Amino acid sequence: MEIDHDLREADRRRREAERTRHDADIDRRDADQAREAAERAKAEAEQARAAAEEAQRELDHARRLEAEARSRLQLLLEAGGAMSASLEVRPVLSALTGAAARRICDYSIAFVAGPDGRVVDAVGAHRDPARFGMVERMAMARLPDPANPSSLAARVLATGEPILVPRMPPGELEKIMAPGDQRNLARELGLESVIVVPLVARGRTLGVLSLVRDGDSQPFDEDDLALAGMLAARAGLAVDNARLYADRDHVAETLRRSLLPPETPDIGWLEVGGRYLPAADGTQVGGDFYDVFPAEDGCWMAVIGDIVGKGAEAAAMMGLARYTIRTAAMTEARPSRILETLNRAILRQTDDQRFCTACCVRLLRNGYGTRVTISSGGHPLPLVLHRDGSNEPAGAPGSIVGVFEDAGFSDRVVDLSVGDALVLYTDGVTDERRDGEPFGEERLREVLAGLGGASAQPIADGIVEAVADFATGRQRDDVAVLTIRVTS
Amino acid sequence: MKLLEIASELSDGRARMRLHGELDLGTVGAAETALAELEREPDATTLVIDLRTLRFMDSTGLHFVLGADARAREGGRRLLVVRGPEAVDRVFRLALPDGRLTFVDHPDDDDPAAAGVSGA
Repeated sequence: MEIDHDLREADRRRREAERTRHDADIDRRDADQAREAAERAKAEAEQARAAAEEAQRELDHARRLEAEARSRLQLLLEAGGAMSASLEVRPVLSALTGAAARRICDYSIAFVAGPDGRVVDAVGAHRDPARFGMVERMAMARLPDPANPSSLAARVLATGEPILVPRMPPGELEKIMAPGDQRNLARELGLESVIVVPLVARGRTLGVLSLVRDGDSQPFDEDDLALAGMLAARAGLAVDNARLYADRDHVAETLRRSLLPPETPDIGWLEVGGRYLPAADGTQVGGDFYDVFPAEDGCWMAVIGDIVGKGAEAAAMMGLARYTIRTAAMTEARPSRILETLNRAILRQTDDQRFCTACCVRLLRNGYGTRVTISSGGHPLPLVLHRDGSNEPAGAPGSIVGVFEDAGFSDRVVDLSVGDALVLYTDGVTDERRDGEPFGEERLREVLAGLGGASAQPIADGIVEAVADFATGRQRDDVAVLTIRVTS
Repeated sequence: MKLLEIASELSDGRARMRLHGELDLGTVGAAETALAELEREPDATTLVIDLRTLRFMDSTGLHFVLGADARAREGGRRLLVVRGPEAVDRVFRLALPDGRLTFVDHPDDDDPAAAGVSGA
């Protein structure tokens, strides 16, 4: 029994132990599972965090790209707008380098080449306005020479190919910068990453644009180079426009000078005075002309005219008018016939409504003074100024010149005594305005009343000065005055 | 303040353009642009340039009106010019032979010579 009991007991304990072990196994398995779950959860959490971080990085990157893209677009817009605000080369380049230094680099220099390819000027800008002077001094210390391409700018000028140096290799600065001032300034400003692009227009290299970042900034990359290329393309056009404009200005000025009488002639019995003030926008030829020349039989002819319109076509018509009048005066004594010839000549040359106004006057000395024959083609009538200041218009209105086949011109005769003067003027005199109110013929006659007995030139000067004193704002039209006074 | 104000309208086959202010080299560009728009109106058989409130006009303005007249003739339209104040009218009187342009006193007036024909 005892044994049985003991055996049962032992069996029970064994089963218990087995159960316990089994329970322990289950616990261990549960624990293992829990640990695995925890590890999985941790791993998932880490993955999630990594994904979130990646997403944040991508977002940051996207934001940075967007900011950069916006900044680049901003630069192109800003530089484009600023450059188109001027028609002179230097302001265009100031706008260009200024915008670049504000937006994509620490400082920028533009070099301008002359027609022969040699660099004639440099314009610079720095992000820090206090350093502008240093940048320009560095640039001017030695201008790049395409024949000696040691500097990057010179190399780009010579080849027309852009250069990107993301990081300046050690010792390179010494190679590309001239010793002394230039090298010292370059070291002080910092010269770590460089882009140099050509300024090109119509197939010609007009200069180069250098963009520089100092040691504290990110190095330039290919995107920056592309942007610099776009910027330079716009700048090239702006510089080219400014050049063309300057050329045209020069041509216009030369033409204008060639069309004005170099000086009023010395006639003896007549004194001649003249004043001509081109309109404030002096870049366009056109407008007014006058001429005094000897005609047949000892007579003199005087003419004043106004070409409507501006520019090259107006200049061409001015030439046509002046020389047609001179030629016609060789065979025609009557001013009205001269204007008729001019009318036909302009009609034959132009098929639009382009016209001029002109007043043509023939001066013949007689025993008492001077006999004046006047014909007006749509032009303000000249004024006769007597010694005592009294004055009145002379002649009769006639049609403008160059539009109508049947334009009618008439001659009127007036005799001037010694001391009397004939005053011819263009509508620029009476049309100059003060706050919208024109100077007008009445005011002109009042001014003349105070100039009776004066010599020819002081009369012309007096009129122009009175108009200038009266008018406000920019002078809108050409102003011309021609005065002829009988001296014996 | 604008130196030239332009009001355009189209009704009953009439394209009207009223110029208010100063017509000179500085402002004629705006007038040319506005006129070109009216000239593109296929329904307008009559163009009216109303100068009653024009304070100032120089030879540039004269050129503008003459150009409008020439194009109207070419295009088989007529151009009526509503007479301006003395300062403006004077420019026409001094520069044009008689009867070159058709002047009327009011933008709804008809060409005096054609009044009988149109029955207005």
